[in-house]
Amino acid sequence: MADVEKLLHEFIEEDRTAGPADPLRYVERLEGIDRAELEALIDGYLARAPRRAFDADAFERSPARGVAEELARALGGVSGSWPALLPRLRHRARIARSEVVQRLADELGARGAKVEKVTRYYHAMEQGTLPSAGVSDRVLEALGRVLGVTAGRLRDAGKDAGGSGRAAGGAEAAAFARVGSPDPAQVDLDAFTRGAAGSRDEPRDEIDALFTDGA
Amino acid sequence: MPPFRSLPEAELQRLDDDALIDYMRRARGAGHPTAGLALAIMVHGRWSNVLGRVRLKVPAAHAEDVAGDIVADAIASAFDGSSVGQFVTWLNTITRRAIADFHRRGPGRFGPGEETAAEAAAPSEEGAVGVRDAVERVMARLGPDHRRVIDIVIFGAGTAADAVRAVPGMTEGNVHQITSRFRRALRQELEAGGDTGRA
Repeated sequence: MADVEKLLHEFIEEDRTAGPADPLRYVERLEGIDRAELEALIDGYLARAPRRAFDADAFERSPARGVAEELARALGGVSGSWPALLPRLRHRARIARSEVVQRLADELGARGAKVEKVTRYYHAMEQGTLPSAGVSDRVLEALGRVLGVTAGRLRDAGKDAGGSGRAAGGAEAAAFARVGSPDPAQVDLDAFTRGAAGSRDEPRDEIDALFTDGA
Repeated sequence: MPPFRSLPEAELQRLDDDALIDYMRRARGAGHPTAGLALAIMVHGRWSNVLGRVRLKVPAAHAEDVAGDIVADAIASAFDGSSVGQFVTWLNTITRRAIADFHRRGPGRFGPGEETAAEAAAPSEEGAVGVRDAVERVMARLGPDHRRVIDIVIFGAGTAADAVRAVPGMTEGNVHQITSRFRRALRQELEAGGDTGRA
């Protein structure tokens, strides 16, 4: 038991003075019940440890930055938590974004130029710039089949995380820009929902309706 | 509610988790860019502790993914008001649940075809209670003074003298007894749960 206590104290000392310590380097020195006890104690320590002080340089280099950017798009956008959820779902399903879009387009019966429109809408869902309330059940059911989740799960994710599924003011949307994410306020939502994304003359069609008219 | 007043980084760092989330919410409402800074402080501040806990229980190849889920889920739900209780308690609940889910379902909580409608509709607290870990089970059997001693000496790496100063009526002899008893109980709990530390 003495080794367990000594290693726990060494772990805590390193964690407090030199930055995050790797728990595995400590537990791997023990076996059996001693190892299990040290794991439990380190876990208990980490569960109780206070929030670490912010270090901008360390944050820049950390995977935490990617998580913060996803959250920023979710919390500052109008698509609920889709910006955090959708990339994770396709990552886990091991499907490239281009393949998700192609399969979604197939499910929706889009061909030719309409596939590009589906691409832009899906991109907006991941970026948090497409109001989730406008996305139809048919799209969510199709996307759910591609990603292996229920349409209800996608609908719920579109509602939470601060994004209300409706168009937000530019100021609200910009509030999280400083975390390093693209600024949703810079996206011309009106142009987007007209299916333009740069071309306001493109005629509205059934793909626009599927992504913007709701129901 | 008083009008929104922006805070500099140093003051944001001093806010506790719940106050920081409230600040994020209000800064978002006011369209103030410190919402992003508050979010960065929150994610950075919690990331490595969550990752460390996940690394103890999940294969290295999946640890960052699972930790990312936990931090994102916990902050998003606290932000939109759907979390339960204090943020740190909520974060611990989500952490235990996510690790349990990983072992139940394997990598990818929402892998293709894995999520049923029933699962989607019932994620919540029951799961968290079921996966309470051995430390918390043993702690739950202690009175407040004894819990305080364990927090100071075991999880705070403090001395018996620290505990004596913090808990009225406590002696160093009592502290040694309490910590020894706690560790024996923990080992029994781990053995009873079949967790004998096999890698």
